[in-house]
Amino acid sequence: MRDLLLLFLRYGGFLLFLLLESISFWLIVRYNKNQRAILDNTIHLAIQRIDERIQNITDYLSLSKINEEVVTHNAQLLDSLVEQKVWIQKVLSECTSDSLRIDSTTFLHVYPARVISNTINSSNNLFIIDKGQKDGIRPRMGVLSMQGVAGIVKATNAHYSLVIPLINRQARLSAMLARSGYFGSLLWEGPQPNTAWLEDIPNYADVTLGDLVITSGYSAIFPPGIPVGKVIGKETPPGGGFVRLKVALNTDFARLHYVYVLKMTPPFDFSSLQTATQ
Amino acid sequence: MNSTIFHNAVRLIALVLLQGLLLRRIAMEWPYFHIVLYPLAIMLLPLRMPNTLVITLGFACGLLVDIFYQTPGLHASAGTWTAFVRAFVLRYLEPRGAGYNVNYSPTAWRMGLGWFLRYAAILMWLHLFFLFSVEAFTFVFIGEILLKTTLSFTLSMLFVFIYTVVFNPIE
Repeated sequence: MRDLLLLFLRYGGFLLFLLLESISFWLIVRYNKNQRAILDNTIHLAIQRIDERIQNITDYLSLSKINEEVVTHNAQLLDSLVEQKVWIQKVLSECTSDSLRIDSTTFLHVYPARVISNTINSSNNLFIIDKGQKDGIRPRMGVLSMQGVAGIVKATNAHYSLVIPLINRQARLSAMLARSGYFGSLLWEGPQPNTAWLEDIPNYADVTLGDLVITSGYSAIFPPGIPVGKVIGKETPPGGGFVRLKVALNTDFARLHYVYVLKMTPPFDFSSLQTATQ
Repeated sequence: MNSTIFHNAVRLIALVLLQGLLLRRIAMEWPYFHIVLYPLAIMLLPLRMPNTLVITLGFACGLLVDIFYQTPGLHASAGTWTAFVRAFVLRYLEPRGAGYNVNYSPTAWRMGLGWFLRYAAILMWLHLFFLFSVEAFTFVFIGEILLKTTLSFTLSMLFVFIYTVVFNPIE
């Protein structure tokens, strides 16, 4: 107690100074509009700066994940490149006739693009990529993520394109089971952004859980064989010879950062034939 | 003893009234030429007065000025600051060897005009700089703060000099 008293006598002036200054500053920010506004603004700026720092750190952390994805994707591409080289050599060595294979003449071009806006929680999800007409993007081009099919270009302007992802109620994709070859149409009913339904599979089809789902190639949007997802469930709707398969989508739409836009130029345009019957 | 208390009380109230009623109006016309005289009341408090009491009086004096200026806390914070640093300025200006006579007040009469003007100038500048810094409430406008401090300091010191010459208080 005595020590405390001595302490106050020695440093009392300083303590009192701090106390009275605190009261003064409290009065200032409580009753003076200008100083109050400056303080609020300063606090706001400080919070903003801290937010920015945290954002930078999280960006940096997710960067390593993206990097990892790019590396694995590159490896896969290299693999398929080697495979194709082997395949081309095989074809060249076997093929002596002058018949024309459709596969070999399908011209395919890939444009990389970055996703700049994305929604996954509505029934009509959309995302926007930073490539547009000037980069050669046109409506009805296919969009791939690093894991598989992502969506189809709906509209474009000079610099940006709007893409309908698989997880949109309007999206339809012709897909098939990789193992057995039965095809159906893939659609999404929501709300989970990682599952969809593969419909119109005949009920006698040989389906096991874990079967891979790939694109069928029955359209001029995607070439056949691009991964879409994996069968994780089976449902038999009443009154019909068909089953619905629940498909876990490969593409993680919740963290879609980079995509590839596919430009396919099929040798013959058969879309006019499709519309002829309608 | 009693006359010292009386002198200081009258001086404090008179300076606050002068500041609040007259000098405030001048500052309203020319914000850069703000004559500030009330720190004199803090400067001239007796040497033997305990530091804590000096600080309390500095706060009270500033708060009274704030009532006139309608800026609660602004002059109070500056007054508290000036009262707090007074002890350090006094220690810095302590005459070599002789020291202070604790029964005196730090006036021009007791300490000499040259000493007093130096003492007043240091405290006045510290007071004004603190005051205008708190008024701006940010150091973004440091140039403006320094300009305001310099101009007001010059004018205020002129008035401190006039006050000293006219009244020349012993206590």
